[in-house]
Amino acid sequence: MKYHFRLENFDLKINERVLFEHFSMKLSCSCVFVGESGSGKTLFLKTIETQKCYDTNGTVLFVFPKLTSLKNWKEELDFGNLSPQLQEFCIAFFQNHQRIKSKCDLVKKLFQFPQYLFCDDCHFSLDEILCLLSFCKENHIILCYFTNDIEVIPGFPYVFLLKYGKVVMEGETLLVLKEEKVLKKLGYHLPFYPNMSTQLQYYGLVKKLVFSKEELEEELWK
Amino acid sequence: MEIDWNLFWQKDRFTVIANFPKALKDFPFSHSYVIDEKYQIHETVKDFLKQECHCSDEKIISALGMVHFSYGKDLFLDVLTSVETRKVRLIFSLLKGEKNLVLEHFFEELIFEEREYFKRLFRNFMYKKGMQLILLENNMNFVCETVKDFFLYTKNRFVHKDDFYDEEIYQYVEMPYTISLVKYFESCGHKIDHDVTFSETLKAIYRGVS
Repeated sequence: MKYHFRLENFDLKINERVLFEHFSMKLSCSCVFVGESGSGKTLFLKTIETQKCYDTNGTVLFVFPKLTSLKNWKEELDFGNLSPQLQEFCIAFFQNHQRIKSKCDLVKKLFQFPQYLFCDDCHFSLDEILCLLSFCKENHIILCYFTNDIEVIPGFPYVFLLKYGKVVMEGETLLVLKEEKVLKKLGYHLPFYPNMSTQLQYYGLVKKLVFSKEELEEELWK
Repeated sequence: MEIDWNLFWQKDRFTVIANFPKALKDFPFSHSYVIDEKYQIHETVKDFLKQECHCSDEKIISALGMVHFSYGKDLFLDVLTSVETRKVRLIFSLLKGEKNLVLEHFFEELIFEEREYFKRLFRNFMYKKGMQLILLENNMNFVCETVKDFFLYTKNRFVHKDDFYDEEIYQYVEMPYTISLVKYFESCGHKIDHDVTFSETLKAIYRGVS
């Protein structure tokens, strides 16, 4: 079955500040919304969750992280009763013992295998995002992640950039990251590895944009 | 936990403490107890600051502009994001005339432009107004771009660190990208100088490759 998710002409205002105006999107792959604090990311998610103003034939779930702490993720997720595939994912995803409560909240929704999963900023690292995206890809889940951390962009195939209460830039990740000057004007810097490889291109040491230390090593010493 | 902050104030430079537990309520800077209680009250940022700091509207509006939060004057305290709350706390402390501030994870969640802006603003506070600032930060990418040495809080004590390549640090906080990259290159058998900031590391890689 082919699933679709569409949001059309979405408007969002708070105290006369326009956060989204006639915003439309179609989801065909995982994507990340990057925006500074106060750009309306959480409000956007809460509004579309409560108003259900989207058109879809798939299951849509939302995750909002809480600031409570949690120590034992295995107990929380009933680890022993999970399938070997899910256990393997959990071991990789929980490798770093930080943000455990957010990870558990997310994993509980993930294991319901929705078609679309919207996740507010959980402050995951790039490695955690990559692990998550790989699981989503294998299980045909489209992840839509909202964050202010530009470092996680390289993990996603598609990016929306928010600024001044608007989507100011969107596109395939590689194309967005090639717009170094535009990103700077918008107040963002490139993520670390794309930035390092861009600068090394000016020295003539690297020929393309790279997203990881392994790729960078290969480019420099191939 | 009782901490004698007087041990850490430094003139004209930031003191950074990494791995310090979050959400302590007894900071000289944060006055979080005041704002947290006020959270229960549906009150605008401007009214709150006016009542608590006894300042004119103009002064409050100018202070909000200084922290890039002009749009927030009529927002209610109970809808602010964590970054906006930190900005209100900062203004609160400045309007109260505090000279020594402990900034608790102030730079967290800020985008690049804002981080750079606040670094410049705080340096101005130090150089021109004689203020002293302690930054509690866990983001080592930020720390290694900002200071040459810092204190690591571990096992209830503060350990002075000036070598960002010291493995002990990364048992407690995440390794910055620059250090991680140089260590990875070394593990592949390439020799790269142990630099710390982005621009130094870029040059070190250039030297290492050529």
